[in-house]
Amino acid sequence: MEDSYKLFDAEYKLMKIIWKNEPINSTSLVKTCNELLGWKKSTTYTMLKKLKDRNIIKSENAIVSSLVRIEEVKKYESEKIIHTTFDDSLPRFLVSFLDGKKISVEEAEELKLIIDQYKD
Amino acid sequence: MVELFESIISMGITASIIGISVVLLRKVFKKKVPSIVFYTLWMVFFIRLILPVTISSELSSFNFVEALFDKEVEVVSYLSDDVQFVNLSKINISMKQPIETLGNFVQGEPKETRFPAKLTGEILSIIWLSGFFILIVFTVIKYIKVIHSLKTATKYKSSIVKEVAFNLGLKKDVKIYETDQVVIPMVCGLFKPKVYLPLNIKEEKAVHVIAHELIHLKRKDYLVKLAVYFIACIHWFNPLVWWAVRLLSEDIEMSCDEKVINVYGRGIKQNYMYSMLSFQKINNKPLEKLFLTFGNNSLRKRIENLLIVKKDSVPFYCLYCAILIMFSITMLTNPIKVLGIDNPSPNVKVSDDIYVLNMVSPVIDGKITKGFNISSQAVYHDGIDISAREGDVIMAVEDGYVSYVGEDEKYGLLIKVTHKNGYETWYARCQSIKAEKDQKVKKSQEIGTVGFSGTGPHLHFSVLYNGEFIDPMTFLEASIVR
Repeated sequence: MEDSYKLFDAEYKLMKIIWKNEPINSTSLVKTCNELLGWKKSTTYTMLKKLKDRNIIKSENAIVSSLVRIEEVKKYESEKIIHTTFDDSLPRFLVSFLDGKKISVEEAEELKLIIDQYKD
Repeated sequence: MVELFESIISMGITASIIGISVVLLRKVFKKKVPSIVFYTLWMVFFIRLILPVTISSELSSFNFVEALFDKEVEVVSYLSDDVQFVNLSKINISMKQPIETLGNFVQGEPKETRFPAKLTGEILSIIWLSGFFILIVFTVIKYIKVIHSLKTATKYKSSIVKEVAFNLGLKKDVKIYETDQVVIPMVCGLFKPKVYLPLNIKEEKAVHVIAHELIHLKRKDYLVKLAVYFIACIHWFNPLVWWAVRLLSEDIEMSCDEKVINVYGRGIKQNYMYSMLSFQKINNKPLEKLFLTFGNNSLRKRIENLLIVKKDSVPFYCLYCAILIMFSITMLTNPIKVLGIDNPSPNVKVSDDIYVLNMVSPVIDGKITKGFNISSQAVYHDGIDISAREGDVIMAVEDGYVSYVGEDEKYGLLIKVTHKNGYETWYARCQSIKAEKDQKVKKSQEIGTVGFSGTGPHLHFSVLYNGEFIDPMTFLEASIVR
């Protein structure tokens, strides 16, 4: 039971808006999401549908309201999600802060020591 | 398709020379020169990989390369398993034009080829094309997956975004999003690129990270990387290209790091490095550790890169620019030298030019009865005599056009065929002529028949290079004409 209330960060943020404003008209919800989250209309609707399918919200006559309380939901830990999307390493055609490869604990320690010793 | 594949190969070979130069330059100057210089040099390499025709220039370094390879150098070609030894000077020349046919390319040991060379070429190009498509399809799928998972990212609101954008001189409104779908900050998107941050970054780290990513955005690194990746997919069989992609990625990131330090001052260097380390994923699984410790750690390289203080004053930048311009001119242009101008003496064996006249024998079954000799008037013979049966077919030895047909006092019934690059072949003492003046002829096409004169039925065959007779045996293997 508890498992079904695990939410991604995006879902959680949307739920927070719903809890704050419910019952809310879906058109104005789309508008709010665009303002606060930067989402397109389609993104908001997709998310709403997903939440509805999981019985976390209900929508009647385009009025959205929640079916669960804030205490009942939990967020996913981010580490778990990454593995599915990026297979643990970033595709080569992306520019990113790091290349996504892992290093060993010893190497991390060693690098930290190098940085510690740095003085300009 | 075979032609396309061939030009890809020849571009790959040309570009490889640039690639190796960049690798060497990088090795020598990496610690002194800002990474942006190598970033730009790599661009020259990748442009050369897809630029088939270029402007000729006397400055082109391939002029020198050519001179360098005048000696015969045997190289192992990665082209085919069957035929390994290809004369590099041949490849070198063929850079100027796409290789004629793969058959010419692998002419070295025709007996060892299991398939007809043309068929091998076709098979290879099919393999190449399918490899390319598979790579592209996988990439597109991956890209769509990434884009899709980033759709639900939410606006990142913080006053530091505007601050950083201002510091970097970005005028446009920048879009920064945060999401639990990434653990490493990155830029994604084609037309409307966005910066994506992992959740819950501390503000002091966020400044470094956002600055880094916005520099990517400003310089359009995300497009460069995509384009470079695409080029690498075209040249997927060339390991040097993939190596270059990796080195370029390093240079892109390093030059980005350097820019951040430039904007924010050296004071932040240490904290910036701590930020980098904090995003690094650490592996605890003992088995994987074995592989991970083995080189290939770009974080270490980037930290080491930041530890060095590089000179980046104005005069140094002028110097870098000058080097860059010189490099680009010499590497992007083709040699101006027309084939053979440096070899005006046709008596010398011109082994470099073999590919031009990759001849077939002019008659199917012939025997050389008299050789070429122009050393003195007494023994003067400006071609070779090939004895054959009267009425046997005479074939054009190479593609070209018929430049002369007619009766000649000295040569009897004579056909002249002009080929590319200043070559001409003469077929004398014919019985009949089966070609017209100005007619285009293909290699092995019938142009006449063997006639009878003097010593018996034979064909007098001459090869001219820039109007002077040269020894046909340079091109005709004795084994071909039996």
